[in-house]
Amino acid sequence: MNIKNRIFSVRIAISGRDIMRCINVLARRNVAVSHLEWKENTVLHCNISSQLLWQNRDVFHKTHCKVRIIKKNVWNQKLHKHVFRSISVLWAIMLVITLYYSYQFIWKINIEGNQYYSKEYVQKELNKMGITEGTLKRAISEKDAATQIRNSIPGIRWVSIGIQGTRLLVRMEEAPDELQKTISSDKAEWDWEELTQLKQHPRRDYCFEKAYVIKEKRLRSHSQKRETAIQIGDYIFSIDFPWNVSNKKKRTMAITEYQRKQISLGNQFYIPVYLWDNTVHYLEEEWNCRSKRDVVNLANYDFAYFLSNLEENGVHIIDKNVIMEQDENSYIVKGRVTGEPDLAMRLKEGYRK
Amino acid sequence: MKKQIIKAFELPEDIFFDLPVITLYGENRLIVENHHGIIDYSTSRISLLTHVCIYVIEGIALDVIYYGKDTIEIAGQIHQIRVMHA
Repeated sequence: MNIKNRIFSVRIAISGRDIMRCINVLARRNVAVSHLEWKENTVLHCNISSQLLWQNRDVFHKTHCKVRIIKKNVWNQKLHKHVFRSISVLWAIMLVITLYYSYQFIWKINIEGNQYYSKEYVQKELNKMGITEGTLKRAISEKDAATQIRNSIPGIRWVSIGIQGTRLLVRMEEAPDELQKTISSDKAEWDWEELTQLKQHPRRDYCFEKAYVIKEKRLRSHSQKRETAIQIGDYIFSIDFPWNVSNKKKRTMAITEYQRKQISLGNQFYIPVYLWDNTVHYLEEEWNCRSKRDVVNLANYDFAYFLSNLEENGVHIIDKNVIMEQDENSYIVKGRVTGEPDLAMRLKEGYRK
Repeated sequence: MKKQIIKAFELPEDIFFDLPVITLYGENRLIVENHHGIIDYSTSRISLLTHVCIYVIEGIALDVIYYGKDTIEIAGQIHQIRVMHA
């Protein structure tokens, strides 16, 4: 009798006319019995496997014997049930603990509402704050994270960060126009201060001289702007015309501004222009441009030049067509390129040489 | 012919001729292999049918500990084992 049959055996009482024949038939069928014991010389008690007893119940009928189960192997069955219940309960507890433990972490980061900034870029910013997939939820302060994102990424109107289950949801709205206005106003304040320091009107030929100086400096600053535009990693940039300068004083202001510091922020790429006698002038070709159309053509030319330089350096350009956006005071030329992040570094090195 | 071959090759006869094998452990435990069933069973006497003969085991308080298809194990105080030819 194997172990399985021993564990799940029952003790039976066989009575009838031909008990020995019944036992022999069972033995011939390979049904082992054990611990045979006569009771009052008419009833034979023995142990038999419960499964085999059920399978060979016809033997008792054929040999005109009656079978009565005296004792089930109760202890074994109880033990079996107990072990089974314990294991089930243990598994359930383990499952609950695992679920609870895994619920404490962020497993997915969803970024919505981004147009200019790629998800990868926003995710990099989050990574800098220590927010990645697998971060403990308790360790994330949603308000602080939103504030940091707002500070670190320019041109965002609003951003909200929330945790939904095991998901971190970043909703943002970008405002490149507002960003430009902010820059213009900041710069304007700064320029007005500069002008008050001068305490005199610029000479008539001041603009000519400055324009000449700008033409030289432009090349250097141009590369700086490219660096800025590329290293951001978003590969969306624009050539911007944010200045609306309607008189000589303001024109001087614009020139000073251009001379002192190039306007480059985030992934925007700017080329300042100004208005003179209701005509837009492009600083580099200051006296050749007399119409808006010229400005646009120049901007296109500059942008095409910029893109061709990028192509030479292995940046894949996905959209060569520039987009013109126009409002009351500004013209924006936009284009999109894409490439590997390390290309930005290579470009930077190249431009420095 | 069969006997000669088995003897020549020294093969186990109990397997080829279905001969019963009795193993007695002291006087209290007996194992019989290659039996063909129990003819008679009581606490003082157990008769076993085999291919060649009938074994009659006599003693006191005899119990069948295990009864399988080929093997039977008997426990108790065994006094004698008789061989009866059918």
